[in-house]
Amino acid sequence: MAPTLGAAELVVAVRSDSEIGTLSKKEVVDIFLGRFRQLPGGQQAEPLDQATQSPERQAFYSALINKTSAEINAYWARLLFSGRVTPPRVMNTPEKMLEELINNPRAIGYVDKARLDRRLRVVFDISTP
Amino acid sequence: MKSLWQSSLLFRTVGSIVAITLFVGGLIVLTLAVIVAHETERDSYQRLGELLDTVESTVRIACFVGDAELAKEVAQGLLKSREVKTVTISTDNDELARLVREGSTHASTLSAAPLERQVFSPFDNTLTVGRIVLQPDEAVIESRVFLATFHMAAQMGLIILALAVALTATVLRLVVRPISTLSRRLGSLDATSGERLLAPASHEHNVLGSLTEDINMLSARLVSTIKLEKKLRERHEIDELKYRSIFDNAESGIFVADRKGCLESFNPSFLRLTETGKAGPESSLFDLDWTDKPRLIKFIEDCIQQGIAVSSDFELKLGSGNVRWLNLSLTPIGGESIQCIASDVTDRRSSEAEALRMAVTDTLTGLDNRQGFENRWNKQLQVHPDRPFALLIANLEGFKQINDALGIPFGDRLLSLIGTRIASCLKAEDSVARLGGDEFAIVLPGITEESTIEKVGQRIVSKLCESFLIDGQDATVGASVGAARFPLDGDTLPALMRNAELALAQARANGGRTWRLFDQSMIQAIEHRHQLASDLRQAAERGELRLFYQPIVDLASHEVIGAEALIRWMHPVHGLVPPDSFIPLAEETGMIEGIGVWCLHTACRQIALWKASGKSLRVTINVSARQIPDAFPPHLIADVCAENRIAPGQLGLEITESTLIGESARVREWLEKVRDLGFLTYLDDFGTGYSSLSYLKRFPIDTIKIDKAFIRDMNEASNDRVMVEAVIMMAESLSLKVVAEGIENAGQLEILKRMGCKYGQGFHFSRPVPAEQFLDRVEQIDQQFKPGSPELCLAS
Repeated sequence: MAPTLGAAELVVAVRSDSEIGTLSKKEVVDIFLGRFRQLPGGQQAEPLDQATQSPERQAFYSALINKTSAEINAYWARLLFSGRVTPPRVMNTPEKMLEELINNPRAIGYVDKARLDRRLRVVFDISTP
Repeated sequence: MKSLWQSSLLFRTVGSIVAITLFVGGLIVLTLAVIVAHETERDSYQRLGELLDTVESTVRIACFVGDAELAKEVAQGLLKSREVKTVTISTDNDELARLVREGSTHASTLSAAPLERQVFSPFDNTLTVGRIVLQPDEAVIESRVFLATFHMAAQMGLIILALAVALTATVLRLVVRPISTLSRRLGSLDATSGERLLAPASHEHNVLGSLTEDINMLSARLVSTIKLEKKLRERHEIDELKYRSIFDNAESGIFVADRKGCLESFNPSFLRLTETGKAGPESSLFDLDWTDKPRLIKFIEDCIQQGIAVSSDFELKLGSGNVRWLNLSLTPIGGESIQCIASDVTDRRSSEAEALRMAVTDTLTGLDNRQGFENRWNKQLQVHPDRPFALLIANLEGFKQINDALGIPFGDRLLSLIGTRIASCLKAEDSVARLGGDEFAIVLPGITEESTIEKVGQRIVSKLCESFLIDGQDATVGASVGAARFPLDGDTLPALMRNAELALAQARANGGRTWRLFDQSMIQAIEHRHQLASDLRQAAERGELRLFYQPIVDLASHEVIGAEALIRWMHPVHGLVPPDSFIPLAEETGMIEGIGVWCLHTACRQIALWKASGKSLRVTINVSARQIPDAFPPHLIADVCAENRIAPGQLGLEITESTLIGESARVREWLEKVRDLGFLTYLDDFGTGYSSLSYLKRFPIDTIKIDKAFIRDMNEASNDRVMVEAVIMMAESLSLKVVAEGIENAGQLEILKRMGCKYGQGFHFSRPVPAEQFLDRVEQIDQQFKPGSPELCLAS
């Protein structure tokens, strides 16, 4: 695994004015793995993925559900056939991820803690046990 | 029958095998069917589970995201398995897919439980996101189960059939056939001729082979046992023949009898020994005439009870009147019976009886000896202590002299005649025994009256005193008899015999040739004698014995030329005891020897004393037969004379005639020795005993002293006077001096003087006086009988 990012350094964030409040781990899993995109409170959530081979993506899924990127890819391959759910949109770079998060109020993504700024709000901290 | 048994065995074996395999096989098939059905069903479920496993991840995803499309796709995949009838996939909220196989409508008897699984989240194994339910197709499972069961049953059936066939064939080949072969061969086997049973081919080394061997061994044993049995039977027959031969030909009588004496068998010798020709098997041993039948009955009884062999002699009275002694050796043979061997021991018994008789019989006279006498009368006293009788003991007098003079064979014949003579004085019921030597015992049963005893005693004495004529030789003995009565004079045989002996001694003491009946005074006399003997023993020590001296006078000159020393006993109680009373006692007890020596010393001392006072006197002392030769040895006499310094010629030794009888050679030797030493020898009391001129010739005698009895009875016309004269003349011709004893008066003195008798002694001159008075008395005699002086009788 290339330049590793400690999970402690990743957080799930949304635009600071997003309707989305603080999330539980289960809610993060359901959103990012396609179970639902609408929170029980009715708020829409659009998950964003980092580049498939990025260390962030690897670290995120590993910390969240103990799966490798390949396994996550295989998972989505199964669901691709019926087309009822789609995988999170992929932001090729962390900059794009930040941009999209800032631009899209429904977007929800994971970023390095260091990249956080006032415009973003942390809804789930992976390092939190 | 045999083939039926064989076929029956075959049928039964095969039948059993088939039945058992069918039964066991059926049970196995049934059990297996249940197991197979169960397993097949479980396999179906397992397959369904495995099917579910293959689709699990997909179903998880479908349920996680609620993708019905994906779920339907999975369900379709599952339905491809024929065993699945319905598939239902649902989330918590709604059913994602429900697919049912088409055409599977027919109902089934089996109602299979649906296979239901929870579906977890692909990302969280604790989070249930849905469920999947599979309904198996019962018909398919059923047909599977049926098929599997059928296959199994068919397989098993075939195996069991093969097994049964194989088993049957094996049993037939390996067991039934060989056994029937064996049986057939056994049936035609002749074991006694040594044939052996052969094992069926190729079965030599298995259990049938060893069975064959066992049968052969058994048959061999049986055959040898039969042979042995046969041999034993033959041996037994031979033994029986041998025993029978011994039994029939034995010298001894053999019989078997029971405890009641019934004879079970007996041999010819037994009939011969008992002299019963007609004894049959039913006759009893006790029918025979046994002398002591109760002892025989007890003897047999004891033998049976104690169970040991015993032997004893029994006397049997025979029909011929004789008796026969049979030794019966009994052996108990069990069952209250005894076997007996009877042998004739009559000869042995009679020799024994003869030996016994000899032991108690005096061979000389044929009478009982002392042993026989004591046996017979001790027994009599024990058995009949109430029957009185008189015991006489007869003793001969002078028999010893006859024996000495005429020889022992003559004496023996005399004894035999005496036995006959005694018997002739008795009645038939009286008995005689010879107690030994010349002593006989006579028993008069039932006699106690003194007059009768006297009659018999007297008769015996006079009969025995009659002279005997043996081979032309005349012989006379005397006899005395002592008698005692039972139980008056003694209640035991020894006491009775002692008392009769006492009476006999009394009779002899009274001069012999008479009889005496015992009375208690005899015992007192004996006691008196004992007392006297005891006193006499101490008399010499106490100085109670004294010597008195009687002067011996020269009848022509009336001069006292010497003296005879005579012993006197001054008893402290009884006073003066006459010599007649104690000299015989002293002789009997042996005390005479000491007394004799004392006399010698005393007399010699006295001679020396008189010599010292100027009187040369010759003193004679009496020597008893008992003292000669050893108690009064010649050298002792010489020594004592020398001690007292007197010449041997001053001492005279007087012996009696009876001394010469008996051990005459030793007496003569003694006499010769004393004469050689210079002593004078005197023959005392001449004429009282067996005065024989031959004595005077044979023995060296200087002087004879005529007994006072002849002098006393001498008068002008008596025989005694003739005899005295003859003695004096004879002595003169033999150059012997003569002393007349017991001259009591002047008449006798005158006669003797006229006859030419030179010396004399007697009361006419002086009594015996103590030594201290003797010289006075000599003086008196000198005065009195001085030649020419008037002869005065101063006697007494």
